[in-house]
Amino acid sequence: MMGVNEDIRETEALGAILLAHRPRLLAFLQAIGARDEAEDLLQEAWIKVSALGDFLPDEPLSYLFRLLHNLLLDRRRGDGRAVRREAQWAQVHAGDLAAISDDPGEERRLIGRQELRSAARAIDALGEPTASIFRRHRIDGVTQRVIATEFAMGLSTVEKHLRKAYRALLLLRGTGDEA
Amino acid sequence: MTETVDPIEEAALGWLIRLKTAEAADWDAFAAWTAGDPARAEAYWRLAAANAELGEALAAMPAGQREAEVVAFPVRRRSVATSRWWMLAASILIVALGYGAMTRLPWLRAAQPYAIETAAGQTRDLTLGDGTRIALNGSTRLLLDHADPRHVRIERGEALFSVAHDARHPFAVQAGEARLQDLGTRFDVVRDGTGLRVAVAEGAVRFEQAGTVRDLHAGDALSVTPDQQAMMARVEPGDVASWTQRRLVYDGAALARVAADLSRSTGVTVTVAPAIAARPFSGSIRLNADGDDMIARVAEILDVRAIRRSGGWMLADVPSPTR
Repeated sequence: MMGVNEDIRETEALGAILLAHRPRLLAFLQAIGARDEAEDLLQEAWIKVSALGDFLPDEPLSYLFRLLHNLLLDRRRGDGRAVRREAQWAQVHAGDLAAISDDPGEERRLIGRQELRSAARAIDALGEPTASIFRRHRIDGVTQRVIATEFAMGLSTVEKHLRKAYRALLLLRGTGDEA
Repeated sequence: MTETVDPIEEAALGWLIRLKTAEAADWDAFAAWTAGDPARAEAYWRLAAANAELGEALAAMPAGQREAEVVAFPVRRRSVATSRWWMLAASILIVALGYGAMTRLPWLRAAQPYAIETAAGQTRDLTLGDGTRIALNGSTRLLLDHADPRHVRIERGEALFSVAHDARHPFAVQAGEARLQDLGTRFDVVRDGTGLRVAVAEGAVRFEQAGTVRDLHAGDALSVTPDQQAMMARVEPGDVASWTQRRLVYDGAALARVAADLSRSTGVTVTVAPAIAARPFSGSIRLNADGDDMIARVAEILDVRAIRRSGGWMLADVPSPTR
C-alpha cells in the first residue's frame, strides 16, 4: 500500500493518477453497482479532476474512490427517485405544509425548511449522547476515533450509537415513504 | 412500529457510516462486499440516497444561528440537463481534439493555476501582479492563476483581500458556489465546515449566488450555511479581519465558530463539547500568548473548562464535562 502511494506522489497530477489506475477504478465502479454508465462516470470524474489543476489531495486514491462513489450516487438520485421521495416526504408532513404556493421554487424551499425542522426533531428524539455523537459525525465530519476520545467511550460504543441514529433517521424514514 | 432487522440493510448501514471517513483500503473492502450480491448494492444505494437528502437538510444545523435578517435564495441547483449537456460538450471536444490538442488551444493554454497554502497557526501575505494584497490566515488554501490575477478561489480557511480596484477588470473571489466581486474594497472571507462568511472592512463587494445578487458595504457581514441559508449582520469595520492584529472579536458568535477560528489562527487544535457548541460569545480574545497559556486565558474569557485531548484541547461546560 505504501509503495502505491509513493508512486502516486511522483506523478503529481490527479488526472494522471486517475488514468494510471483506470482499470482498478473501473472495476471498483462495476463492483459497487455501476452498469453501462461506468465508463461514462470515469470520464466525468476525469473532466472534474482535470479542472482542479495541480490540486492533489493527501490520499489521491481514496479521493478518487469517493468521487466515483458520489458521481454514481448523483446518477442514482437523478433517476427520478429524488423527486418522488421528495413528493412523498411532503405528503407525510402535509399537515405542516398548508401554505405552499403554486410556484414550485417556493414549494421546494418550504419543504427544505420543513425537512430541516423534522430532521432536527428526529435527532433530538434520539436522546443523549446518541444525538450529540450523530451531530459530531454527520454534521461536523469528525472521525469515530476522535468522537471516542471526546466522549470518553470505546470505538464500538461510538459505532453502536451511530448505527442507532442512522437506523432511526434513514430506515424509519424509508418506512414513512411507503406509508 | 415493527423493528424488522434485515441483515443486508444493517450491513449497508455500517458501510454508510464507515465510508464517511474511508481510506483506500476501506473502499476496496466496500467494493468486495457489494460485488458479492446485487441486493447489497441495491440496499446500500437506497440508504445512501436517503442519507444524501438528509445531509442537505442537516447542513444547516451548525447552530449559533442568530435571529437576523434572512436572505432568501431561490433553491435552484444547476439542472441535471444543463450539467449533462456541458459534460457531453466537454467530452465531444476532448474526443474531437484529443487532450493534447486541447491544451494547445490558446484560451486553455493561458490558464496557469497554482495553489497557496498555509498550515494551522501560520499566516502568509502575498501581493498579486495587479497590486492586490492577500493576507492568508492559518489552515487556508487558495487557488490562483498566474495568467489571471483577478480571479481567486478560496478552497478553505480565511483570507483578507485588499483589492487594487479596476472597474474594467473586476476582481472576484469564488467561494464554493458563491462569487464575491470587488467594487473597490478590503474584505475578509472565511470558508470552513460551518459555511461561508464575508465581512467588509472598506468599500463594497458584490455577493452573487444562485441568481441572488447583494451589494455588501463596509460593516456588513454575510454568512451562508452549507445548505444556503444566508444571514446579514453588522460588524465594526475596524474589527474585520482582526486576526491580522492577533485578536479575535465576536458579537454573539457560536463557540463552535470561536473554536474553529482559534484552531486556524493559532495552530492549536481546539474543539468544543457538543453541549455548548451553540452557546453565544461576545468579546475579544488576544492571541499573543502561546499554546497552553493562551488556552487557559481563552477558557477564562469564554467561561468554559479547557480539557486536554490528544492533539489539542476541548472546551467544555463548567463545572463538569458533558457525558
